[in-house]
Amino acid sequence: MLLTSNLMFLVYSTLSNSMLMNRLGTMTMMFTFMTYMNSMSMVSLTPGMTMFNNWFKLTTYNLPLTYLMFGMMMMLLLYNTTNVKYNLKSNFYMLLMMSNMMGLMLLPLVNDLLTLYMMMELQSYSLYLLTGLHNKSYNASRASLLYFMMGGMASVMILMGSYYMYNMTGTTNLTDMSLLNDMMNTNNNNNYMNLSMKDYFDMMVMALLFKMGLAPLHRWSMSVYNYAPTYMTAYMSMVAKMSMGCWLYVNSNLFNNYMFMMFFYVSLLMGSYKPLYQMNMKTMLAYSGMLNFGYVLLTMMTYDMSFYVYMMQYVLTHMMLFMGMLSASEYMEKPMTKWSPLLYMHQLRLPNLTLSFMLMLALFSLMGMPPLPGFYAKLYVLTGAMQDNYMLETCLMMVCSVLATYYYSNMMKMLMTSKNDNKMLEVNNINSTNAYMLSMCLMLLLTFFMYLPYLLEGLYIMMM
Amino acid sequence: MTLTLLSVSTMTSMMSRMMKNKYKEMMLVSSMLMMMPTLYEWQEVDTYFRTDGMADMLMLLTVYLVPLSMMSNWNNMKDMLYYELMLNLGMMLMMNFMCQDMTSFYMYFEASLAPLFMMMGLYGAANRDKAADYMLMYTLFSSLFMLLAMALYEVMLDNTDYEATSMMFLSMELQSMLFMAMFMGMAVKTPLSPVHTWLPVVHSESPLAGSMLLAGVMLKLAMYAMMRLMMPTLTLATLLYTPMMYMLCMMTMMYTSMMTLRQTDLKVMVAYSSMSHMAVCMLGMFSNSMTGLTGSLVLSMAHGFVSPGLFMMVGGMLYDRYHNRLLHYYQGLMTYMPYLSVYFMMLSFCNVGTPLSMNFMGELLSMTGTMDRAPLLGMLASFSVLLSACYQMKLTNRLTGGMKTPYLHLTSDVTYRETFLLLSLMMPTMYLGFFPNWSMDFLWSLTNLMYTMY
Repeated sequence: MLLTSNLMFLVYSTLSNSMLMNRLGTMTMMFTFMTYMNSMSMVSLTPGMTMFNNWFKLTTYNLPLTYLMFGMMMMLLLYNTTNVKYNLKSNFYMLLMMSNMMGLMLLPLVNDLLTLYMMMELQSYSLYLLTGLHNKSYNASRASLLYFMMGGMASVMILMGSYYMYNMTGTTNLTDMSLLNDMMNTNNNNNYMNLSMKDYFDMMVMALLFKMGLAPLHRWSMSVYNYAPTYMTAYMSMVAKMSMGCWLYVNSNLFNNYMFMMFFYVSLLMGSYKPLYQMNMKTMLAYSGMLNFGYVLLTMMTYDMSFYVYMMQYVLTHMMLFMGMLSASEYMEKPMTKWSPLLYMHQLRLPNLTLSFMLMLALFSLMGMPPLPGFYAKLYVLTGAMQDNYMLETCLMMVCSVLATYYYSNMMKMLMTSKNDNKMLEVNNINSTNAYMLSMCLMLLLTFFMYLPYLLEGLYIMMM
Repeated sequence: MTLTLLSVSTMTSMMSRMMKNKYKEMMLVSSMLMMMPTLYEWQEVDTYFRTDGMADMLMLLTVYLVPLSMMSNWNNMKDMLYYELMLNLGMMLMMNFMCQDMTSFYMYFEASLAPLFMMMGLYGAANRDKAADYMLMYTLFSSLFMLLAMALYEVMLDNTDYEATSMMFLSMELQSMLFMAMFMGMAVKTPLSPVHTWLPVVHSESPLAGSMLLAGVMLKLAMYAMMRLMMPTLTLATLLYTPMMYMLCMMTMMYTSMMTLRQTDLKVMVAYSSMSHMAVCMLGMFSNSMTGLTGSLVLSMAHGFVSPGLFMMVGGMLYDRYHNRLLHYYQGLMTYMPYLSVYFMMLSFCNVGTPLSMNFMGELLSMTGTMDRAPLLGMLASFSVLLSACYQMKLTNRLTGGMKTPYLHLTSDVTYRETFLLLSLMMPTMYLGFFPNWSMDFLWSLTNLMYTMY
């Protein structure tokens, strides 16, 4: 469906204006989502099903997250269907977005090293292009180029890893590999080969984590997120990580935990410590995303449903923060640039108190204040980690989350000052569509504790 | 219950938005209404709402203090948000005492930080940023260890209910681990000596109602958690760690009492003094005897009346009139504010623990319990009475005695509102000092907390 609409859009994009394109594209996505919802009926197929000659595998493990991703993308893309003050519209946006989405949605389902590479490139290339879409902006082109270089490097590593793996096992299929892996585990005398297979997987994991921009290989991603226009940052800082993370989670029985462990430690430390001396909102949010993904790495190691709970809270809070930032751009009288009007923390004095309250709630959730989703997510991660006896990791998690609280609370204090700011109350309000989306997010955030039990039940059944 | 209270708060907020000129009154009334669920339930089922006397006592304290603290800020705050935050804070504290589950306790415990943080950040004094950060960082960091303990409970027992966990007998190692984790949260909240530094800053910078509730109710949360979360379940560990706790309490008491003597900020003085009293409470709590436990709770309650009263006086009445909190500026209030001085002296004497005040009963019983448990430490602990007399007398003398200083201009004495507030705090203190039976009869279930061999 996405492919078809993509082709259609190729034709359309030559002759219509950008707003129409964006709206049409979003509607297409909604239809696709509805169709995709039908795949829920395959839950009863216990091991999942494979598609396209075992290239893709749709299981109950990757289904929830792809739904989540889809929903999030739609909500984020709705921003582009509205008229805003700093208007950034392009004819090619939807086109690229469609191809990107194809890559993103298919990546978690990948069951073959070749398709892994293909899907990875499909989503990466479209992201490179999307980043540089506004080539009038020097920063955006810079980000795009940097992204391209770094992403290319990671892709080469993936390719190399797959080559070695193929060389050794004679197959590119992941199911075959996991079978092989099991076999190796049972007969212990041939230990050498087993070890080296895991090593090559380590290489791929490292490349993927590099692409996700987790510490210690995170410097490039911070600058990319910072340079790109805000609405692009919102999109790419979340989705790329999510789809790759989901693939890693689904196939985590193939990997060693060492690599995850290393990235977990460093991401946590970096994500909590680095933003302490940052003034740049986008960088801070990027670091906070990294910190949250550090927690997610822990759930990958423990391999339980806290992964989904954490992902939900991550998506919800970060989406709210980014959408709030985008909406707050309306009030920027002296924008930093046209592409990212709200860039620094001191710009968070907003005349719209409801908006600042929403942002504060999202930040509270990130801090882990009950009864917001952040708390539950943290509780489940902690419980899961304790179950598997990751003691030191949980302690580090706590220390880091307190460190992170400090910069969240700094942002909050900045937001709070908007209360005392009575001037410029009479300015244009945010677009009603955006306001609607934001309030929907807020409702989801506030009532999380009500629907969480149902979600958990569902996840439990799916993961049985 | 949560939903009931939440709907009360939401309705109030919405209605106050509709009637802009009546919002204070509405908030006040609804804060009084908060008591309703508890009282209603008592009548209905003739039972203590699945709680016992210990919780009821603190719940009553909470519902008593919230309207009072709102009234204390009646004239100097003209912002609806402030009263909304107060109402919600009170509500969360209330639910904190109601819940029957460790995880819910933790949730309300943490959630009460959010309104306090906002209140402090928006309406605090000059140093409010620092204070808000202190409060948030200290409490969050320490209570995350509590969360860890709760996760461990979840893993081990799949349950965090008070009743259910107290039925289990955990191994000594596990108990010790859980105790240490819980203790970190409690020590900061009480606060005990090495980690007490947040309290003076927060008290002095927070707006009046905030510091009243902090001193009156939030410090008691630590006591309550000690009783609910630690003593019934982690019995052996509690006994094992009693010497450590006693040492910490002693250190806190001595150190804070002496520190109080050196302070110049009035609110900080009251804050330090409440720390030393909480340490006495803690001593009684760990005495493993009926006397000590009763004393500890009675003192908690008494302190919940007296300390907000003192805060109201120095942070509200004097501050509203002179706009500073420095001890050096004040002198000779007796000459032209006789009523205020008399009230102040009475409250001071109560705070010291003069006989016939409720504080006296509490301190006496806690000390007795402590002496039973550890005679030497108990003896040392009784020095705290002397020390608290020292600083309190210094404070009272400086404020009321002497000549009027040139820094002060003449102002009116206490208004009717202030008289009402002070009397409503002083009456229960005195009454329960005369007839302490009423408050002690509440505490029939304290025996459950003791560890005895038969």
